[in-house]
Amino acid sequence: MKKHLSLIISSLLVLVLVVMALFAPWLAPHDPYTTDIANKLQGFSMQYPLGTDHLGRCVLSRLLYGTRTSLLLASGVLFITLIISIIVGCLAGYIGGLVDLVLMRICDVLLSIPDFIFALVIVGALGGGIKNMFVAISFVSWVGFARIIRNMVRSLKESTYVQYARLTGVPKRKIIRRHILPFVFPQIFLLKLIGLGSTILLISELSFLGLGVTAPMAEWGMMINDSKTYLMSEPTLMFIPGIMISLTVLIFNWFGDALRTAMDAKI
Amino acid sequence: MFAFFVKRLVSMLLALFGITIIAFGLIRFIPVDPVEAYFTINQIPATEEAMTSMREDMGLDQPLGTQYIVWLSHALQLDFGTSFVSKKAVATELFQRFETTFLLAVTALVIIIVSSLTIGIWSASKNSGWLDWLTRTAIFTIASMPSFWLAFLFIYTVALKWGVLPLMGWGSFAHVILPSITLALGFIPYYIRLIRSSMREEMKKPHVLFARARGVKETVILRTHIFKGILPQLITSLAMTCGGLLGGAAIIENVFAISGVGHFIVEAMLARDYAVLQAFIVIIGGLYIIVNFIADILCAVIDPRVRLKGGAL
Amino acid sequence: MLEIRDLSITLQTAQGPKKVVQHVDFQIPTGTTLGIVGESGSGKTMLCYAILQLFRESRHYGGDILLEGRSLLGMDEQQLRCLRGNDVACILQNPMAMFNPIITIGKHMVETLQAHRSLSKKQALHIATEQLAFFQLTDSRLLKKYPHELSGGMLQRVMIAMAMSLRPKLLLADEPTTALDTMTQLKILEELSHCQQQYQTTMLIVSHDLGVIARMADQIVVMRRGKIMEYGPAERILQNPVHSYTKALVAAKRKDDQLEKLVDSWSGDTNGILYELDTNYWVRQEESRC
Repeated sequence: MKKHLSLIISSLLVLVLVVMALFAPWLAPHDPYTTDIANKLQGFSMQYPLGTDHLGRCVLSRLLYGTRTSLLLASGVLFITLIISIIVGCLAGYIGGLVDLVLMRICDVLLSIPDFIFALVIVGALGGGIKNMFVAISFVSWVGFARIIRNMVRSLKESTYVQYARLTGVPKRKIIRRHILPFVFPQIFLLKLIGLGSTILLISELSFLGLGVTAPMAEWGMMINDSKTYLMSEPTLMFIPGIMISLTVLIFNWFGDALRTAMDAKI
Repeated sequence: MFAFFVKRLVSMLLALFGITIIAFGLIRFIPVDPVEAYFTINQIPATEEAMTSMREDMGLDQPLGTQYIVWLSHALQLDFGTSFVSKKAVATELFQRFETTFLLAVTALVIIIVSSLTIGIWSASKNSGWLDWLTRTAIFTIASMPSFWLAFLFIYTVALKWGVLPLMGWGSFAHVILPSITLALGFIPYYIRLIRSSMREEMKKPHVLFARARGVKETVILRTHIFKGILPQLITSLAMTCGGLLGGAAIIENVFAISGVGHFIVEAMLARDYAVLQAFIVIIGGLYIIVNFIADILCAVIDPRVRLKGGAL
Repeated sequence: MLEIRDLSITLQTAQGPKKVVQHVDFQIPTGTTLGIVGESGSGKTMLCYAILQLFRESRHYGGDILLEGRSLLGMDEQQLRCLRGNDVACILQNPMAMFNPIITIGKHMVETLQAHRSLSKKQALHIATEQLAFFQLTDSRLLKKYPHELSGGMLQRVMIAMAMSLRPKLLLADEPTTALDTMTQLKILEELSHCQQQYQTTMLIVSHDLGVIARMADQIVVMRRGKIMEYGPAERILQNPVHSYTKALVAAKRKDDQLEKLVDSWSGDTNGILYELDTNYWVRQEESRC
């Protein structure tokens, strides 16, 4: 039991975050978009537990809704990149030859642009906003995984039972579905879970620069950006969202790490 | 060695070529018509005539392939066109700002190398488990913090509360310190851990034992066998970090109000200045590819086994 | 030259301290060769490392080791470093792993030489070339090659050349012929004999192959599970082994059989006391099997 302590605690924490995200409308004391200029820049109080921002909005509520934004976006990215990278990886790994060469070359070139910069440029090209940010981050994220999947598929292809299946004329699609995917899927899913933390960071970084989420949506990175002018007078406006981002990323990283250790132990 | 070098060179050139295609293609995929965007930004009334003549000027009425070749030939001469916003040559604007960003990134890199080497090598000789745990936890924690937040924390404590270093802007050496430390901070724990664990691994290897059995001095062993052994890993990591540094610089420049390349890009983005964006991708991507190429060659020089494995084409 | 007195080696394992070598005594007169024979796990390699006083931090050495009368266990690291490679040299198992893959052969040899003599790189290279020539390794490009470019046998020969380059008083050879083909094995043994004749080097050869020991040794120590089973003049032991374990070993050699197969099935008693059968001839007592 002690060995799995890490895993248990971190998954509980992940659960807490998920609950926060799902039930934000019920948990938040106020509507995150309602402004109340008269009450702006208040400190902690009974009415506003974490104070208000420069437009009088409840920080706690925005924090909770921010959880929604980040988690939803991150999970969305996870699924899309999962699908794309599996398709590309399987095609390259299984068919091999020219297809493999071309696809991997494309991946190499895409990988030679640093993640954040690439996302930045894509958002720049497409314009800001949550949808474009989603596209940008997804586009940047799938490449690395495609390579990993391709390597996995290639080695699996050489395994005895796949060879047998091919010899006995089982159609390619079935082989992939029955023999290859069940192996590839859990490993990749795990890797992506571990990558969730960095996706969330990416989301907040883009939003901080004003290129991601648009006002008045609640997002932690943007909240920090908004708090820039009030750094001296109301530093909590900067601290709190940052702590939230750090904690969330930490929890996901920890969870992913614990999960990986547990899975490694099994193997 | 020569064969390896050539293979890698060809690989690199192909990648550079690929980058230009991406840079070019990216902009052409924008849903917004560049000509319209130009007129909107500059608040010129967009009449049919003006737009058509603009299109001709920009060469946008040509087939895509021709456009690419025209653009590429200009780019190879480092002419990236003119910026929408500033009306000046993109190349000049970018290279001007590049000095600043370069200084920032290089200072950060130096800080990373110096601090992680000293702490890493020192801790490699210590056997304690808690040191391992400490570095792992430090990495975890710092890696979870967004760099811009770290920057603000620094600004708040160091500059505002203690009044020690200048806050924003650029100009003197003092201005460089805080931003580069903030930039470096995200990478330091990772490198400390890398150096420590790879040195410890290297120390256990049989050839180190044999060197001891031959009576070789401990300092020589450390230098020639252990440190040289981890060098390839270190170089490869550093090359990849360069990419991360550039990305991080964009954010740091924004926070510290430094007018470097990163800052410029964000502005260009908000203005849809596509010539700048194209140039940016080519330069940054190109730099990254070249840096990694140099790193590969260095590794091959140090470790002869790399040359045998060859550069997969 | 070398005297091992009541040597015990204790390892720290997960289950607690474990004595891998127990109360071993033997002497090697100057200029002679002693062969230690035993299967894997008998502790023979541990003995080599013990003589070099390596692994001091993780192993406990009890008893004493005397080199020309000087106690090795009593020396500090600095003194030991001067000794290693210089007075006591070694050739170890698995030469491919013992050389640093990113450093040339030449650099290895120069390094060894420079560790004990003040020589310039040029001088050291010159001596290295001479040394290699003496051992019939005359390829002039050898020094510039990397370890993975040479075969195991070649590397082993280079190791010998390197070990002898400082004219050590004592040479330890741990499984010098394992994993080599027969021809190379013979060559190596020849070279070792050559060394001894030429330089009067005292030698300690460790092997699981009785054939190797039989060729080279003046005295033989038979070990099993960290204890000496029989220790005495080589001829006597080979022709008239007393202890049943030794008998099994000799029989295995004669039959040209796999040592492990025959000896594994040996389940004799190893707890008897060691008694002196004759001058410098010790045998471990066994319960009589009637």
